[in-house]
Amino acid sequence: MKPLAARLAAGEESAFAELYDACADRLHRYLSWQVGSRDAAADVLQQAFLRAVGSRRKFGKVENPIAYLFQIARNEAARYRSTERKQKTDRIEIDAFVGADETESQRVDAEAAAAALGRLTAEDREIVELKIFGDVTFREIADIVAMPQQTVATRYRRALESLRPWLTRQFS
Amino acid sequence: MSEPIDPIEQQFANLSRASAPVTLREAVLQDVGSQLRAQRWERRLLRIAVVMFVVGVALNASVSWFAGSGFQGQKVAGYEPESLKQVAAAVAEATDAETGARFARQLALRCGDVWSEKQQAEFQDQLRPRVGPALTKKDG
Repeated sequence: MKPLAARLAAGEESAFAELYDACADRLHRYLSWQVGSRDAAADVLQQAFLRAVGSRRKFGKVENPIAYLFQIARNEAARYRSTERKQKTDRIEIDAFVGADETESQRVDAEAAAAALGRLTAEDREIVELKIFGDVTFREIADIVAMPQQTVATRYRRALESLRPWLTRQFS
Repeated sequence: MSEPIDPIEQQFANLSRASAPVTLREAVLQDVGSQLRAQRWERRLLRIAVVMFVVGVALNASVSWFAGSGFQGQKVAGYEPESLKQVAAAVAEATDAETGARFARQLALRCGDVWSEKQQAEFQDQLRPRVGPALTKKDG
């Protein structure tokens, strides 16, 4: 059987279904943090898949189709933000990211974490969001944000360290 | 999937349990399917357009080739030099000898023939008694 990237490049419908199943949940989570709501994230994700179909031949040249899809989705999120003139705010819609069945304390923790992310620089925040919500590896993040892998890992750890005192106070 | 390295990571990871909406999968895959089908049709239409273009170019080339070489020198069926002389004389009567001769030359070419010097001389002879020397440019 051909590898997934080759099947995507050839335009096999089942390959796109496979790609969706492999990363839709984490891509949706990442996009939710990027665009600020779950509904908008769903729209952006849908648009990202259409873009991916449009440029499907490029899948044949990439090493990791999931990282490539994240890259497309990241660009789509940026486009969405610029067209909607939505700037990412420190105040994030917590209801968008935690399920309705979450407990009150989880909700408070989510608010604290969201506020913490708002304290990071845009670049560091994106790396943290990709790592934690997108659940992608440092190597994949390096491909997505076009930075050396080592730089990505360093910035990620430094960002978390910078949040440690603040979060400790919040969660204690 | 990487394991959290830190309680802070764990704290963030606890936020990331929400899944994509269930209905999204169907919507996305439906759009993907439509787009792939549209792409296939575009490719087919492009292929047809290319084939038609090539056929058009080939037809044009073949027509030019036949017109340029195949038909050259082939006299049109029913062509009669005598009749051509008469037509030329009629034109000369209506206009002048030069126009009549020019008309005859063009018509002969169209019929795959050449208006020869001999024909021109005969035409002049035929013309003289009808139009008279005063009307022919050549004769002054």
